[in-house]
Amino acid sequence: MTEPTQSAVGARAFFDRQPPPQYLDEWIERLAQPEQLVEQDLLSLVIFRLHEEYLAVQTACLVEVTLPQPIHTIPHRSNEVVLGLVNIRGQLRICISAHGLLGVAIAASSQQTHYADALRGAHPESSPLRMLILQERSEQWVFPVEEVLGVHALPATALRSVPSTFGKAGAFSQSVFDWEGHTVGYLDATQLLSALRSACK
Amino acid sequence: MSGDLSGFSLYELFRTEAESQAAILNDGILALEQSGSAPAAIEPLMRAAHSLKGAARIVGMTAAERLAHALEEVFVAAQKGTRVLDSSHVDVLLASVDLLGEVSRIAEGGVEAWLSEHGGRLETQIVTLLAIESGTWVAPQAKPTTETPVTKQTLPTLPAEATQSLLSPPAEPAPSKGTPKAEVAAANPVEPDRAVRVTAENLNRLMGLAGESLVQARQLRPLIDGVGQLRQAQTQLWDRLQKLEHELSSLASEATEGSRAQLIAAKHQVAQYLEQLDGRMERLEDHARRGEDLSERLHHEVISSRLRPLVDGVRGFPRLVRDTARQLGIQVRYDLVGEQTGVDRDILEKLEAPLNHLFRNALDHGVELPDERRAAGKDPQATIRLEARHVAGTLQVRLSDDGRGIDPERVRAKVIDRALAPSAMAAKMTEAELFEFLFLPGFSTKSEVTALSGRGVGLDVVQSMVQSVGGSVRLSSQYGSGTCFTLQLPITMSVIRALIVHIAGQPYAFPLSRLESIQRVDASTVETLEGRPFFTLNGESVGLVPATQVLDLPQTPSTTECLSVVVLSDRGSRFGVVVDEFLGERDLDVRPTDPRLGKIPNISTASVLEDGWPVLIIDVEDLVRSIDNLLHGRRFKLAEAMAGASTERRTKRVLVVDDSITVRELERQLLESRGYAVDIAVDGMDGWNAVRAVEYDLVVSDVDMPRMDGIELVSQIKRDSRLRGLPVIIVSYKDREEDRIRGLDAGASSYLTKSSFHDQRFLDTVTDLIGEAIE
Repeated sequence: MTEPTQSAVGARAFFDRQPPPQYLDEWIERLAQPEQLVEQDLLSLVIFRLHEEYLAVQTACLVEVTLPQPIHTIPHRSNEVVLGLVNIRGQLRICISAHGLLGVAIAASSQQTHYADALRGAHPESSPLRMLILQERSEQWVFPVEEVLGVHALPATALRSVPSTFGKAGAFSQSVFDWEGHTVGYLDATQLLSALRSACK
Repeated sequence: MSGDLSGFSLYELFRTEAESQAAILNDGILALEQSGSAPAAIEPLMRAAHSLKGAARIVGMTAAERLAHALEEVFVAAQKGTRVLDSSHVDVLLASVDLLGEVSRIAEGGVEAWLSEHGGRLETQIVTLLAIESGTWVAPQAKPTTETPVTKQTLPTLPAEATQSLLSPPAEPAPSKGTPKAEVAAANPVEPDRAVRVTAENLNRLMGLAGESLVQARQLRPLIDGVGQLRQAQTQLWDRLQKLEHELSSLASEATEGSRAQLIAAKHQVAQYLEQLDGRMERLEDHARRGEDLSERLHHEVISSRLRPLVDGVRGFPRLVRDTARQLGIQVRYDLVGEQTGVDRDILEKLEAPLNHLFRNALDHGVELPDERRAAGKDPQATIRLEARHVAGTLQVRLSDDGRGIDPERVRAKVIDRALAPSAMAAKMTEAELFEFLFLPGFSTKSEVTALSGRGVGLDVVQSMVQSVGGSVRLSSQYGSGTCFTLQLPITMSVIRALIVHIAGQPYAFPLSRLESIQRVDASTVETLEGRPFFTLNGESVGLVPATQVLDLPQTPSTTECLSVVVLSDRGSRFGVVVDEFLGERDLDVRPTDPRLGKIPNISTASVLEDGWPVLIIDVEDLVRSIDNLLHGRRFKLAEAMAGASTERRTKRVLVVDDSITVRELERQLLESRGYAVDIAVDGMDGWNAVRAVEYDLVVSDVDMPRMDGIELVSQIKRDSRLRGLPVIIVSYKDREEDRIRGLDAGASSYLTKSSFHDQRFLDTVTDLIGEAIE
């Protein structure tokens, strides 16, 4: 055995030090409380904005969020749902207008100009426009959205049923919830993406 | 740690090695036959056999080890000059290599089962090899002739001591006979390039990322330019300060002295910043250059990793040609042109089977006996040539022979004889149309057909294999002087040279090989005839069509007096396609379009430009057809007329899809004679585009057509919710029950053979399905 070094002595002293006063009491009190939230009841959602509407999908089907990319129209195929092709990290993906699909009031053509403008700007980062890439099974789809408001955890109990007035997006919303003063539609991703497959044909 | 090999079992490694060593042996033995037993040619063979023996011992494959050992013994003897190897020896050697390959492919743990079944064959082979080595082997008596092809295994006479030595596996690598020199050489075998298995999806992603990193690296350029502008602004600032200082010094006084000192300090500061800026810019530029260079290399490397040289997929053919020629008693030279042509690995794998078929065909039926050739004034040695090259973004593989060729008249006679087409129609058929019949199942399996043309056996199999990868096969032949098969195959991931243009403000690419020329046409020289614009090129009128119109895109307002025109031609017709502007030539790595989109009319594939923009690659063939339709107003004009007349009694409209003009015309005449309105489409793709553009009452389609076959067309129609109700009659030469079932399974309402044109059956079926032309 060699002599303990200076730092070893210091470390020993650090770990052997007394807990601060009330430390134990605080923990005893905290652990005595009944557990409040059970994890399974938390939903992880990514919230985004289409025009004026706030929507959310399960984080599980989110692949990534990117800055706006140029959208190439597909002759004979592009319509108000299918916008065209985008280059996502070298892979060409189908770009879908969630606006067109959900009937959120904005014409596809104006949406494209909108994006073209954002792209031409010097700092696309500074615009809130983003592209949301969702995946179902092995298929990926790209959606331009006006803003991505992040990933949030939501207790399942906060979900309410869809009001009949909730616009056309209601068709794909399984429920709604309140978030920072907005009513957010919780989209059924599977249903949404399978509707897309038929839109492409 | 064995690093990246850790994922493989020893057994798998053995198998990989056996594969590559067997290839070396195969090629080497063939070369040996050509060059005679030159010691230099034998040495690599000894090494290969020896390495294989060692590898087999490591994994405990005694069978392979003994066989490799016996092979090595023969090579050693040949090298010492004690044995001279002739063609009959080569036969045995090649058969041994085949057997070795077979043994090495036995699944792990399946050796016992294999040995109990094939052990006898293995022993015979080893005995034969050892007999050759000891000089006691006698070549089989039967000299190969055309009448009795050597297909049976020929048994050699067994020397007693050889049989004896078989009972126990050879001990250590036979030191008594092996020369020490060979042992040393074998200790340092030349490592073949090691192959690693990667999934195609992985490679695709890698390719995408490499492309994207190139895009990113190139985007540093505008950034640097921006810094350059900043630098220029700084220089201007410095100039301004300089001027200010001059002005101040001209009205020098006590009062301005302080400001002047400050000004000078400011000037110095600016100069200092400028210098720093210069230094940083230089470093940035340096960095950008290196980054770009690296990304370019990476990109190039990834792209080429998907491609393998053609020669990798056709290694077996020299052997096939040699063996078959020997069996048949013919003399054949095998030529491979374009062996380094890059072929997508997936395509390469699928290419082997159809090529094998075609090779056998050419040897079996195409090439004449030497005497026959001499009598015809040809070189007694025939040539079979395999050529591969990239044409218009596709891989073209061509297999030609200078054999007897096909007599079109005898095919015609056969067509009439078998009532596959009415004789009047058959009489008008072109050679190309006649040769199509050779692809029918069972068309020429009968002996008299083999005698007349020697073609057709199994060609339907070749065709369906090629079609399954989205390719097509064509046959041309000059009676008496040879036959040529051309396989057109897609290159899912390959690089093409293309002209990039803007259409409706977005980039599109025209494969350069499909362009006739590009022209700038002064708007004032454009004339119109019957409302259609055209311009004159080399004394010829070329019709002009805006690309936006064909592609159904919003019209771009033209701002210049000068039109940018891409001139395309196809089968004699020439068109000028007006685009927004030319952006230049680029190499594009072609990516398939998303299968979810189906076949996009006028578009073949897609790629990504250097600035990150997706670019769609024009399907020129498709585009020309669309333009043709647009210009001749056939379909579109009729569609308008129909829309107007739809409330009144309207004529039933039929779409005829067939790639043979004779058949198309016949069907059109038959249908029009009954009062139906008829439109035509020249293949499945054209037909598919047509049924979506115009409402038809009936589609009549052939089965075998380029680009999209009839079965696929029917399936597409039946899958489309709006078109599902549209009845389709398939009219084909194929009259086998399974073909009929295949057609009906796909959703055809009726399946007729072309002999139905003889009688009322065709027209009766039409009226049964959709009623009279006007009701």
